[in-house]
Amino acid sequence: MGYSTDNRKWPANECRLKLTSPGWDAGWVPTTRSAMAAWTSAGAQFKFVEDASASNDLAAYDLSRWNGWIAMTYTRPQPQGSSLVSAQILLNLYYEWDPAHPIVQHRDAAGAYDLETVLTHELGHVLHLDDDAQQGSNTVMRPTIKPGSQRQIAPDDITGIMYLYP
Amino acid sequence: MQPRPQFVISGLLAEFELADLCRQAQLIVRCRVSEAAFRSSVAGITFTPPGKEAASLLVVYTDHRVKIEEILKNPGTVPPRSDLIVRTLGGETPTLSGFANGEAQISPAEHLVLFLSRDHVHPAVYNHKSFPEDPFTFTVFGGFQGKFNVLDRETNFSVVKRLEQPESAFVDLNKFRQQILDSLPGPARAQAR
Repeated sequence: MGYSTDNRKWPANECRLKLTSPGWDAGWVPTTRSAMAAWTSAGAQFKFVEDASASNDLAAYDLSRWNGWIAMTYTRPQPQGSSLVSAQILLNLYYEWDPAHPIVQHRDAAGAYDLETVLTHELGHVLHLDDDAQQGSNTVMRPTIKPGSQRQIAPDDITGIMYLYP
Repeated sequence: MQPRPQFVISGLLAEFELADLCRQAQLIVRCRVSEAAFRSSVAGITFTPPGKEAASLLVVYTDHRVKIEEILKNPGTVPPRSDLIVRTLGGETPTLSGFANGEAQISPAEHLVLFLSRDHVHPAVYNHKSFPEDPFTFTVFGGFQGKFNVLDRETNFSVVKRLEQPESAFVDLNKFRQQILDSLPGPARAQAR
């Protein structure tokens, strides 16, 4: 089994995400919707919902090389209990993306990271699925990625979301 | 006692082979952790896109004191056998606690080979005035990928592995040292010999 989780969950089996934040370019919204739909249609009792008034959002900034962090998800659980309160996904524009960011030029020369794969991974973290540290795994929750690599939600990822939202 | 607010950071790291770590790390050391978590602080990761308002996230980071036993890349960077501070994301303070998946997790008394960088000096990262930068503070390049445990199995025989790797991934320390040396760019290799 590759997935792991701390059992924290979104109340009402949904997470509402704002896709219109100033830090998130409109050109990346279609890819974001695809990644959200991949989890929503995975078969669990959970859905991502697009909501312009939500506090959970996405942003993309140049965070410098930062030790290889190409993306991060920041979540805040309730101090007590197992509910999640907020989430923010950050993409690092120091690195190159496919599709390319419409405005900001990348500075890394290693090649482009697949935006949909990375967003699907980060949305998995919004769900509070942890990284899949199993050697040789090719789940979407694997903790590292090479430029050009594409991954879809794998059976182990589905087991994870089904465990949280049966 | 009032429960502390918490945060969890999880992310995705660029995948690095050993050769990538060797090329991109600014300092590679074999060291022992002499004091773990000796200082934790709340700091901000601040983002300021051009023409837009700065946004920031509150995080905790932890400073670990390590004693250098051997410098494997860029020996002129710090004095031999000196103490370094290795700063990692996550930790506990009276006001906030947090965990960072993917970050190198460092514990007291560990014997390590660390691939280090000074990436944290960028203003977007760990931006906090109460922690002025000094040349002996580093972060781990590649997160968990930049931390290898040295396991002393017998006298004069040590092996190195990343903790999440299977038993078969053990590498003799001398062989690992040679692999690092072979992967260094020319000038750094000449300095390290």
